[in-house]
Amino acid sequence: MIIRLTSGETRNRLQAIGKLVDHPRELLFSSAGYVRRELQRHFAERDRTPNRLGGKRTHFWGAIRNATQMGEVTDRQAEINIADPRFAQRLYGGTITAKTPWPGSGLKLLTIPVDPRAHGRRASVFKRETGLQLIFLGGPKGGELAAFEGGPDLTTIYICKPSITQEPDPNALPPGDALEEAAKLGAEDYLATQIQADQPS
Amino acid sequence: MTTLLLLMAMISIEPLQDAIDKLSQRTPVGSQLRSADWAQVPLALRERAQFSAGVQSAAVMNRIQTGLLDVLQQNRNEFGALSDRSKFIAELAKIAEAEGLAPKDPALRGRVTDITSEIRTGLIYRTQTEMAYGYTNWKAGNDTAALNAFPAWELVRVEERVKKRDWLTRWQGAGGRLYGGRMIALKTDLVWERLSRFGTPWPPFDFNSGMGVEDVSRRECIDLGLITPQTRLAPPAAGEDFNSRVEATARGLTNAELRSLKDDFGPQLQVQGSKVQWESRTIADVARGADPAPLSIQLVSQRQAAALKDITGQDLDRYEWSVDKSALDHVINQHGDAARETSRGQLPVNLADLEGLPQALLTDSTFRSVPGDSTRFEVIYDLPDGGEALSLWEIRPGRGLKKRVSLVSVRKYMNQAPHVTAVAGSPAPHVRNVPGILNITPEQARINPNV
Repeated sequence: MIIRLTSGETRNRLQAIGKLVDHPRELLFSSAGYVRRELQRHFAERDRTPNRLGGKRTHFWGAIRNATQMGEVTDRQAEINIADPRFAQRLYGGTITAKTPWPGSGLKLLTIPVDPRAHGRRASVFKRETGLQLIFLGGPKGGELAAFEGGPDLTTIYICKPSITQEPDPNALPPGDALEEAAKLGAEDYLATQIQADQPS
Repeated sequence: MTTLLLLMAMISIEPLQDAIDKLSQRTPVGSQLRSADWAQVPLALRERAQFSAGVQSAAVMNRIQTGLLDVLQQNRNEFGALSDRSKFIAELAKIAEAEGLAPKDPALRGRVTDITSEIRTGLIYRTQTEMAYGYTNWKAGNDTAALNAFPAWELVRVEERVKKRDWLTRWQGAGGRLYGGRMIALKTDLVWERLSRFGTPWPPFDFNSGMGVEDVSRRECIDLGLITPQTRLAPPAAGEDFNSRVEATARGLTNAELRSLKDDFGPQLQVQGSKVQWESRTIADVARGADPAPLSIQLVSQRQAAALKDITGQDLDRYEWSVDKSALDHVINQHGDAARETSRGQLPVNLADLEGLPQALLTDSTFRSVPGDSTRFEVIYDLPDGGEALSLWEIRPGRGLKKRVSLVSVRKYMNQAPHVTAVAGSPAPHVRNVPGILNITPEQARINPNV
């Protein structure tokens, strides 16, 4: 999957600058590098927001930042790679369907944490870490995994569904114009250093 | 100047090959060593080892390696579910528990020293994936064009932590300079290696630190005085670069250093002269013959040494089980032909039968003496296809690190065939292809109806 970032206007601007420099690949590194830095700062900022459940942090957005790397850069084009498939789900949304059958029952259900202690944890890890036994209430079309915690009432830990549909996250990427601006600024800053280098010291 | 640019800054959600390659270079190594002990191991070995402090289990180390590769390669399981952090943690914890690695004392459970705990498995995942991505960033950033577009890095906080280390003091202690209070240095500066607990010039620089690097542009570097407008940067020349320095740490080791490493890692370490590397070859690799050095499988265990002393009268403490290409060639050439082996009342031996040797030596294989020969003995083990292998081994008391029990030959029979016992009684149970002489008769072979 490839997301193209630069509009016609930005491309024209970069082409014009590209004609002025000795090292067009460096220019593209600079331009794409500014875009990458914008992306990384955006992801780092998002990582500062705790998860909605209030559970232990898994630093999802920090991992996305780490996975944001420069790809191939030639004299003609530059690529930035966000090497984490979970990002595509955030960006575009879509339906996730349970694929792996549960051991024993063979049920195919997603386990969606609703208890903060279950955030980022599979049910087996939850059981090991908390020592609580999980009880499944439901059937092939869904249900919940719940636990007794000393009292007579069950606490719901996970909701179980065959599939869920997630909406796209409108803030997965920084605003498009911020990325365009970063691309232009990267090229213009690089051009400025080349003009400086050509001036007698 | 005449190049027409068609710039398309693209974002592509693909696996990173450099990160995958970096991780693939690691050999799973089990050891009791704690983190502080591992820090004393040459960097060349650490960089090529998949290890985790205090974890000896080969099954756990292999799972760490394959699990991380599954994530980086964006692999899916047989049902089509994507590998991810939570799957890695759940499966690793399960394997570690099955290996009996959960602390017996409940008070020690759930701590970072408990390999079955989420905190430990999560730390392994975080550190290893960050290292793989950190290396990718470092490698791409040291390309000539990248180096001149972004000559420096700034050390920045990329994730919040409840308890933060004092990175400013650590930065200055590593020889780092401040630019307007910012921790910035050229990418080629040795401060990055000195800053790192792991000795590598890329992040992470410590466990669970939340710190990372951010590119500093050419313009900022000029403004801050790190470079002049005329400065042209080049990656370090071969021989002076980080990789060359790392390789040098595994060469020219003293005998005492080699012995110490060998004590810690046993046959997992291959010693060639004064150079060491991890043993990543398999029996199939040795059979193919790319590397003539014998393959050490494992140390003779105390239990095995005691049993073998009864049989041979020799003390095999610190000996290694070993196979070499000449023995494997002999087995395949002399005992791999179906027609000839059938005429001997045996089954043909193939490479898959030999690949089972390391596992056989770990489990309940049977040892048997060779009458009149205290330098040789037999090991009998079951094969997954229902066959039974009789292998002949020779004690080779070399000096120092080269005390080996070496494979001589292997024959294969149907499991439980009476002729295995019959053969054992022969004076020279290792097979030589002597024309006209059969170790057993075809009639004996037909005792088992499956032959």
